[in-house]
Amino acid sequence: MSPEVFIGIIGCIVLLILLASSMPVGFAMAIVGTIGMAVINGNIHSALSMGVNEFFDTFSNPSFIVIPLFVLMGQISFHAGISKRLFNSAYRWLGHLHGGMAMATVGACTIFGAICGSGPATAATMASVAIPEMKRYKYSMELASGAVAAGGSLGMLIPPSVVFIVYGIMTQQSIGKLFIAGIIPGIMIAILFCLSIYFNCKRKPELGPACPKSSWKERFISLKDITETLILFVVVLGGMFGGFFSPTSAAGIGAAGSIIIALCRKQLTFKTFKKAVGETIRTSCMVLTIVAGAGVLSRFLATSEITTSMADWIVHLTLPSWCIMTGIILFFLIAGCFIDALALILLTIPIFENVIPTLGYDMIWFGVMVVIVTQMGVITPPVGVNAYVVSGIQRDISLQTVFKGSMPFLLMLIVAAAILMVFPQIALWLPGVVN
Amino acid sequence: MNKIIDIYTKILKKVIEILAIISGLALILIVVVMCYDVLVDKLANKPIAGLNDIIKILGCISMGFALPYVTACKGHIAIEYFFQKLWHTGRLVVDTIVRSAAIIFFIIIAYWSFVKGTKIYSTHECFSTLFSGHIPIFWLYYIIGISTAITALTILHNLIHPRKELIRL
Repeated sequence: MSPEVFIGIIGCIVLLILLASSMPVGFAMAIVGTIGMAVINGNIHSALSMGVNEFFDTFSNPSFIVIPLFVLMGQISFHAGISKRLFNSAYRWLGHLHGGMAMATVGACTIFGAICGSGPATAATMASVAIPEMKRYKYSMELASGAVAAGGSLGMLIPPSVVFIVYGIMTQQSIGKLFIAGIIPGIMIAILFCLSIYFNCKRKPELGPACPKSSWKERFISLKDITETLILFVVVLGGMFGGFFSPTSAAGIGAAGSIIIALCRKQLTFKTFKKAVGETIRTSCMVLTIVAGAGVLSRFLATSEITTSMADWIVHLTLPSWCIMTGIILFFLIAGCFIDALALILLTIPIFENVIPTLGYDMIWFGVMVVIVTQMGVITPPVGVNAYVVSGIQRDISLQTVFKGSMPFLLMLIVAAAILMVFPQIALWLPGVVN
Repeated sequence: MNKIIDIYTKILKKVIEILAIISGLALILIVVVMCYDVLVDKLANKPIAGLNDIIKILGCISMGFALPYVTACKGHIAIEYFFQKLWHTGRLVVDTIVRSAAIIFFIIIAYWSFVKGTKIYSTHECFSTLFSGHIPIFWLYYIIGISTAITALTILHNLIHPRKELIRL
């Protein structure tokens, strides 16, 4: 073992210790990366210079500016009450079915995820909008809270997804392709969630009683309330995929469009606008700090040659590539239960970006797979963020109830991951067509 | 002693809030610039000259000045699971070590940002596409320096008051 690799291993151990000590993920990665570089190069000045440059380059990188702009679009839509209108519309169409309101929640989460891009934000919104309604119609709280927590996780997969943006930039993959690749798996998972709700409620009707049926007129009228949001979504993503705008311009147009829509609907006060901007800079800076930290760390890991050594070791395992891939997916599944999805992806990208193409898998497909697998982490104990959010907002629903209610949806996510593993074309077909 | 800490907290809070306002304004300016660029590009086929550099500057101001705010709100992602399993004294010790390490790191990064900025100032490096290359770059490093220095002070506040956020959302 070369001294560089040894230093790399020590660095990884220190990083794990710092992470377990609850040091912010971005800080831990930046500290270990800077000190590691100083030790390997024997030059503290160049290591510090690299640390400063990484923060400067990340904060001023025009590609990353797309993150605050999309987050702002989601925040404005959130504060303008779009979630309530989405839920009402979905309820008009699906409410009369067994478990229809839970399905409406999943549907609303899918569309809201298309604007918002943040799982916990989607779960928080729907928890305050959908759960009181489901309580009113005597839905099982396990089903209701599980549907909200799991539905909220769809925001990570449906474009524009912050995780995809960061993954795309870090692995030098097209963000547009990643966004498109997430659409069919996202819709597939939403359908699987709805099927799970439907069959569970068919078996045990007391879980989700059917609500009064809405007339066709009511259903179409309900669509009117969400038209401008759907138009905005089509303009932003259609403009980007159609080559009319760059991702940054599309995000800027989206943010401005959401502000205009909210102003026209008279649902944007100065107070809510200030709140939305505050939440946007908070979320975006948190993400970019992790990205900057990951940048410093990955330079250290690359210099220590630990990434190439590990990649070599994995590739030379005398196992079929699908076996290795299953192992990698299982690793993400377990680690995702403890670490935030974005942080986990950034921590592991330096290693896996060398391994995946060598195993014969597509990096776009892998991005989608990783997001689906880490999506499981947000609804499973011990640190399922969405479950905490739902339980935190609806205080009479225990965390245990949310986790229990999420189990059927977790099963569906596993089914979706297995389907995608066997049929990678599900994720890769649409990017190929649009290309 | 308590009085000094109170004054320290008040001043720090005010500074962070001012930086957060600048950060928010820079973000809104990015939205305006992006929309204006799309309009003039699509309608008059005249995109803004030096757009990339404008976004770089605004992005650096927006995200740089947001760093102390995120730290003050305790908005950074951390893995709390194992830490919460520790006994009380253990948590206190680990927390002190971790925060002290972060303070030292950010102070060094702040100092080095100023050093780097000053070095760039002496070379007269400018943005190539803005105002015929007359806008200097060095001050953006100073922004990173200010931001990381105040972040260090914010972490110091968090060390003194481990259970309290400096700014509540």
